[in-house]
Amino acid sequence: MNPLERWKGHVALHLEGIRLGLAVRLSDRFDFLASVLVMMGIEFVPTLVTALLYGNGLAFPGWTVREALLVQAVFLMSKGVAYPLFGGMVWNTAEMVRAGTFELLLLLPRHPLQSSVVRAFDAEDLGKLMGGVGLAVWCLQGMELPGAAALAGFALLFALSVLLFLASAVAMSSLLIVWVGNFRVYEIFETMASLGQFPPTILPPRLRALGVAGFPFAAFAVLPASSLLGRSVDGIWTAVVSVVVLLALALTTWNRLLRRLVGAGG
Amino acid sequence: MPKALEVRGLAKTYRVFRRGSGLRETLASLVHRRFDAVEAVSGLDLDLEQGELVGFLGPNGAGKSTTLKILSGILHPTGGTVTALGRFVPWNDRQEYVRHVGAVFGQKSQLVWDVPAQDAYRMARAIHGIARTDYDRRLGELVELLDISRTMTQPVRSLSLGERMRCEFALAMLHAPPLLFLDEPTIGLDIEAKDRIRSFVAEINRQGTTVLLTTHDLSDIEHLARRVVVIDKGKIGFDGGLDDLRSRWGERKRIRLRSKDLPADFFMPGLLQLSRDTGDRREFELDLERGSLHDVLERLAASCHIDDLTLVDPPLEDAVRRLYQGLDASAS
Repeated sequence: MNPLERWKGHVALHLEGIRLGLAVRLSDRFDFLASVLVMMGIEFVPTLVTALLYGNGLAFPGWTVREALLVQAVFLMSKGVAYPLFGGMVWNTAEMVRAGTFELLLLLPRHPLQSSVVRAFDAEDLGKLMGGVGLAVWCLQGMELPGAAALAGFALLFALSVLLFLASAVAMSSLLIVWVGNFRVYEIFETMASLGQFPPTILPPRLRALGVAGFPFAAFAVLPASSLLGRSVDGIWTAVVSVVVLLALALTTWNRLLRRLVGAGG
Repeated sequence: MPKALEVRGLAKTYRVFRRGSGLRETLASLVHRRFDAVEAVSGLDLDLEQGELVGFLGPNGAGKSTTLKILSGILHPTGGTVTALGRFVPWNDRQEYVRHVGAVFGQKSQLVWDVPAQDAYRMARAIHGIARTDYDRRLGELVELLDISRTMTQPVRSLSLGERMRCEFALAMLHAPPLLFLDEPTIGLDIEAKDRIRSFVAEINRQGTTVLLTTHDLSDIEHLARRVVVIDKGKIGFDGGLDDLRSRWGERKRIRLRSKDLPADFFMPGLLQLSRDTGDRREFELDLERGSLHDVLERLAASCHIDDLTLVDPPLEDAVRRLYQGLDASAS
């Protein structure tokens, strides 16, 4: 099989995964719609808090209300792309390892990580994307529209944000392969990631440094939003390197821990 | 023709966390964990010719599932070698090897619970990269063989266990694998559903698929397998034909008799009375190494008026039970 055909095969597989994921979620229409709305509602709590703060005369130092909300809009958009595509991988891994069916992925002629991603599509998180786009459009109204260079920078940093979500999902899944049913992993990640939806000026300097190196949570939204706003942010390249290193580490860990898979029932 | 499977000295040792049940031991396990090494498979040798259908038996915890997982590429062994279909090492060549392997687990579904089986078939087509024409032809054959034209369009959660298992088999065979692993495929099924599954397995085996069948339902073995491999404590305890298995632990015959006047204390060497109902029916088992069938029938005819008499082989369960007990005794 030539490389082009191989790529077409991969694309066809992931499209089939999206179709199957949609079919699964739409098998119960009310649950699907309710989940989308609830998800949007929960995700908008930080936005609401931010709006209330600014409405009461408080502010994040150096950021207007629209700029602060744009960070949260980008955070939602990135989540809205990443979670439907591979966020479900974490839950699937947890459930499948617990039920002893995770090993069935190894009966498929694909890398098990790809099989895991293909089966992870969850349409209910698309509500985050819709909410994020809507909020971003509102924030950008009344602002000077970004130029081509800013948009290109935003696109690259947005991709970096999605990659960081991917690295996090892979890392969490790998731990769940051997750490059966421990959902604390996900809660720890959510807490750390939530730091990425606020302007960095509210954080102490050490935490701000961690936000670009180590666990670069600034890459979730602050960096791409700053590019749209034409604001300079220190440590972009450090964040890029951190994300690449994290992704490499997560993939290595995933492959290593997979070898320790024992499975249930023998 | 290369062998379907060639297994030499296969071994798998698990590291199992050991913790006592008391509060002190539970708390101690937070800081110091103790592990035991459990040998699930130990020096197993096994050959399967292409086109064979082999029953793979063993008591719970004997190492059957572990062996099956290693042979299907899921688990890495801790020792030994496996050559599958003449060229694959299952755990090293997993991605290419599983294109040639199908598997059905009676207790683990590969279908998607909320959607019809045909959605999982489409996904399998994409995963295996099956050409559209091959897929349509193959699915058509399987739908006909398994009679699933209606069931595959209904959500899996609404199917009976028998219907679901037929859909599972179609999924496992969609890419026409030459080697099929079955792990308790008839567990929980009613007689009719079992018969359908057995007919299907017999048919695909007739068409050339090699089948390794693990089950606790010995009637699966009696219906399907010509050769039986029994494993216990990770080692092969028996490998031979069904008749060999029956005869190896003593040839026996069962005598079902209906007679109104057979003395209650009727006795002969090697003859064991198994049951006596409130009426005139009795069942005996004769150990042919200790007594002669001819002598017993002659004595019965002389001792009573026989209204009815049937001779049957003891069920396979008896031979397997004796085999398990024998293996257990030799191990201890």
